[in-house]
Amino acid sequence: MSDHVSDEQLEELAAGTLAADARAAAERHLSGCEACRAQAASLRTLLADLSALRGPILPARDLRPDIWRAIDQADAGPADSRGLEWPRRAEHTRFRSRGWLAAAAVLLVAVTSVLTWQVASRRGAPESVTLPLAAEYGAAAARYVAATTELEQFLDERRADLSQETVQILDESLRVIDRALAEAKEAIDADPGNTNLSRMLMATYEKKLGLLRSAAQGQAGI
Amino acid sequence: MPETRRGRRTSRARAALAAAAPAAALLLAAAPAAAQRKLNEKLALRPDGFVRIHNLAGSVKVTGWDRDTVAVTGVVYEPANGEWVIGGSAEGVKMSAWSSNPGSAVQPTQLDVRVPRNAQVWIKTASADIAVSEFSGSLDVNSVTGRITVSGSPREVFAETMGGALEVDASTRALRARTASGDIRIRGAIREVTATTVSGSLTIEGDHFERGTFESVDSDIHYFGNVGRTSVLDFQNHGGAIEFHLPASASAEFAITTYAGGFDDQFGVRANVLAGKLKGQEVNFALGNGGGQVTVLSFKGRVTLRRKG
Repeated sequence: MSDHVSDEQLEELAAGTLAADARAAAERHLSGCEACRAQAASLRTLLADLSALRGPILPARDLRPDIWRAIDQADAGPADSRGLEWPRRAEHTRFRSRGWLAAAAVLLVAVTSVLTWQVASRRGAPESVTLPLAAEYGAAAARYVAATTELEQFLDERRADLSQETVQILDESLRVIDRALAEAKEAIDADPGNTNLSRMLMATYEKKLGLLRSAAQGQAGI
Repeated sequence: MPETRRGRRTSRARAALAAAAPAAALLLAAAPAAAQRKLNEKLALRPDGFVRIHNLAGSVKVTGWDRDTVAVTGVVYEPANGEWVIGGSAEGVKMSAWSSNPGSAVQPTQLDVRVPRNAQVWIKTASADIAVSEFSGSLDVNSVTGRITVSGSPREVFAETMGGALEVDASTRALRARTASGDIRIRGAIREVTATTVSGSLTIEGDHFERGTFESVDSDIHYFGNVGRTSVLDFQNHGGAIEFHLPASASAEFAITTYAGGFDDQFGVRANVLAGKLKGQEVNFALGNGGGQVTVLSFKGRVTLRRKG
């Protein structure tokens, strides 16, 4: 129905970036509309899931911040920008919404990967990673494999939208990283349980994830 | 049912995403040639307000000043379908020279932007170079292939470019720098720094890094300078070398681990080579009276300590 809160406004409401007067109007509508309320709740859940992804994939001793920070902040800028009103609202919203949806699409696949892995863990399913990694790194490796695989698929599907330069850099960098991963895996196979090798493998996966995230951001125009 | 509405919205969003790219490409293909427009705009902004800048190609030069105003000069090529946007309030200012198809060929737009020195600036470009100077606020810059240069004393810096070079010469409390193939060069006094590259060279100069993480996959890392007495520095590389160019008076504790690399030094260190079942080599030693801590992890790159002077 046309009197529902628009998708864009619901997104901004969930993100906390909706201007004060529009927010008040949207909240008034939500108080009497179950459908919009449910949609707003699902968007907030998505944002909460994304916030949860801020935690590191690596074990605690290798804490690294903000794997997903840039995407989380893709539309918020370097700090909180709530309350901003742009004079050419339609233009801004069109731009913003496109970026948001693309970023959300990237993140949804990553969230799915992480959740799938977590469910499997709760069920006591064995790790999908078969390398003889030091025990503390097995779970992290599984998460890296899942997240990087899905981001690669995301980018493959949108390859035609990427600039030629981006594709060249991405492909060359992935070749370098995958070669390094292969060497590290081969070394781990020959030296099972070597904690240093496991750390090196994780560090390389981290770089692959960062690279793919950067490319996905670039593709999304955010 | 709410689920039905949500499902419809999700489907709509996905369908819109799928449809947007080809439609945008068609629009751009049909668009008339871009029109050149000279810029000379001023907008009031509070001292710590937000500034967001998007520019596909060309350059973005941002300079801090002591006025509560954002001033923009330069030349923008505005497509007929209107992709140049500028506006805002005292809270925040946004300007955007962007296309719905970042991969398309566009005329370079040159933006010269003056911002309040303590503003919070966010810049995104595709191929446009970015230069920021005389700035003390927070900075988040991101480019696909543009070169990024930052100087001054920004409060914090997040800088990322896939293919461009990245150079930071600044005094800041936090720096995060990342490239894929672009070279990274870091100078200055930085409390906490993380620099990561895949195949670009990584050069660090100075001895004023309290905590640092410097990482590469396949390129060399060079560190020039002393190690601060309270510094904690971490270096990781897979295939590239890690070279320390240290003064004779250097004083720090080193823990070096290589798998198939190797270790050379010009200090004649009395290294404690840790024996063990594991393959590879672990070497611990101290230069001078110790102090700062340096940890090195290398897969097959050589680790070298060079003595200067």
